[in-house]
Amino acid sequence: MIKILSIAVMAATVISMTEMVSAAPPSGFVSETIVVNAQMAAVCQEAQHGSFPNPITIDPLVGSDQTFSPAADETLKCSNGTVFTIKVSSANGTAVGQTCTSSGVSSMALKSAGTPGDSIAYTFMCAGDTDGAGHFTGAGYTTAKAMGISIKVPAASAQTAIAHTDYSDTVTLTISY
Amino acid sequence: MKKYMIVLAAIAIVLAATSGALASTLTPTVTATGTVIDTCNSPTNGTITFNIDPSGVATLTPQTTDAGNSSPSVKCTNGQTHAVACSSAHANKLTIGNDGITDPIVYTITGCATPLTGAGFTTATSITIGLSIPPANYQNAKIGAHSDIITVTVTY
Repeated sequence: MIKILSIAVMAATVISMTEMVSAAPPSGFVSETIVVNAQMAAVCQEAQHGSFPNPITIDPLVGSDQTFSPAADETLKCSNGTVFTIKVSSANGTAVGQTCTSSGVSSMALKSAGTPGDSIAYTFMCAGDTDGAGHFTGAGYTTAKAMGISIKVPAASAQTAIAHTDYSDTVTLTISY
Repeated sequence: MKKYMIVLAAIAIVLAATSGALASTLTPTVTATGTVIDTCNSPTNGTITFNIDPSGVATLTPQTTDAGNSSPSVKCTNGQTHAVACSSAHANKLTIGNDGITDPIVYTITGCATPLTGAGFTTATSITIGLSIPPANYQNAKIGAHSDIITVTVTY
């Protein structure tokens, strides 16, 4: 009985060794590559709609130009590094597609709704341009870029304006990138 | 009488021996043992090309199987399973000019954990590899081409 048992143990040992041999370790490798190319698109999106206080009060007695800040600045989210320009058009003035810069776009006009013949010339400014030539640079989609809009009514325009409470204009901004 | 019996016995033995020689056949055997080795070859490269819109809010998951892209492939011994490993040239970063530095967009590689089973040497087995890029990693990235190279290694 003892002899039979020892034979069985030997047989099991042989089988186990055979299995170890068949599970051979890796003997080589083969490699290939994947070229990854991603193109970051240049896109812009309005983050905040610009507006001015309603009404703004123009004082004809002020002897200097009057500048009015917006109630809400116009802000944009653009791809980081995207250079874009803003074109300005005035519904009541003659400015159409003028590049908005920190020095401003003239030929804008506030017009009286009740007396359309009465208007006040003004300048629309975009102080946020990066080079004074109307170029803005996007800062990425988690950072809204302020246009720095404002309105300037020249002293001469204010001093000659006829009193009304219904002057208005609609400014259209076109973003090009 | 005794002598006669001995002669007969001798004859019988001779006859028996002769008849035995006529009926015998030889059946030699040759043992042929073949071992199909576990190996791989014929690697082909792949591509992943895609656009990134920074206004997006979803995780980008471009793959080698997307339209216009191509999956790397390899031919391996039929039925054998092999580990697949991936490594990036620039620590899983897409960079402008593929320099590993400029404006990195960090990504993770998907698909490399899936073992590859060979289909023989008349059929290349494709390896589907993908990228995963969460919005926070690309929303502020600079415009332009960002690149990297992924090396896929199949061990056999």
